[in-house]
Amino acid sequence: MNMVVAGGRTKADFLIANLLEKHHRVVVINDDDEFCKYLAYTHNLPVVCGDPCKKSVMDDAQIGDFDVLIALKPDDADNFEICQMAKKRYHIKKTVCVVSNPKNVEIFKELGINTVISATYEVAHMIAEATTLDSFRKTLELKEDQIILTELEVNESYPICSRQIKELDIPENVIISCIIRENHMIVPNGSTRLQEKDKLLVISSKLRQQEMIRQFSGGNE
Amino acid sequence: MFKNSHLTRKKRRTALVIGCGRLGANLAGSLCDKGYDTIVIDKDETAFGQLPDNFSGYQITGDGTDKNLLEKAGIGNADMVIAATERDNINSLVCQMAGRIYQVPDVYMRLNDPNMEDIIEGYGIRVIYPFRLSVNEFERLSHAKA
Repeated sequence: MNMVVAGGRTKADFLIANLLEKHHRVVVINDDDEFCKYLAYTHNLPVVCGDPCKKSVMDDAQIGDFDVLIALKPDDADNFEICQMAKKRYHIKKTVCVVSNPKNVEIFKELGINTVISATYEVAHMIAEATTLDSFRKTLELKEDQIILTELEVNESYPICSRQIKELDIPENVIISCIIRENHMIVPNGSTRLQEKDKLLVISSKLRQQEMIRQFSGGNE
Repeated sequence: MFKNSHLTRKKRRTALVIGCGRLGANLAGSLCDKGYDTIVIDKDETAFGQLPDNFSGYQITGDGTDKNLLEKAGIGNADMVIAATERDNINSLVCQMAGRIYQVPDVYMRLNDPNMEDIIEGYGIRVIYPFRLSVNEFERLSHAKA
């Protein structure tokens, strides 16, 4: 794919190396002279030196109809404008914007930027997940969040502990697909008895996930 | 500004001015004279020193593109937003948030770079070009002299 990387320092350097490795065609626009020289020298790729917020600089880069633009400047408003110019003026299919204010993630998406990335926003989500979901560690969302795979560790206090699966009142659209017991994998049937420290891999619909967690844990989560 | 028939039930109209430079500060003053509840936002507290004597509104120090700050300032119910910072990209972002997300009816933007025109087209933002006004004024003065 044809990609433009606008602005950025360390992030840009790392990203460019990554993209080139995957055989994408990359054009760089950067407003730091020394850094431009460094990038051209190390990565051997076309570099346009100048502020990517300026029309003349963007025109020089000849990026019309490119597939992706990634804006990495330190200022959120600059990145927003770069992405908007890329869309409107150069008809770039997908724009990716890095922001420092996590509140801008939703705002920028609403204003038409395809992908908005904030390190703070991502980390905050990970922390929230890590703290609220103590014993069940992972949730994997598949098929646009319709199918949820939940990993849940059975605690002694859970009502499902020491019971057979056929005795459980499992909600509709929920299935215990797999049990991991002391590093062995068990595909359960009705007579399988759940034990403390079993890790359950539960497939469910998004709607039923909370209900399932409540029932399995006895509301102790 | 004066086509306010739909606002007659409301006691006072509110205006948000982002950026308290010479332009922002003086606009804020004249909006107060026109009877607007005026709120001025600038990231630099010392900027409020430029506000004229007739200014009787509120001042908020902070990032004028921050969603929470704008909401705290009442952008959801504002009748007018003016983005008058010296940076085009900030003004564009503020105006688009005001017009496209918070549905503010009257949005004005200070713009230095005429190349930005095509980007903000179609969003109902009214643009003030300081340089164009200066050129017009020069034309007027030079004509008057001739």
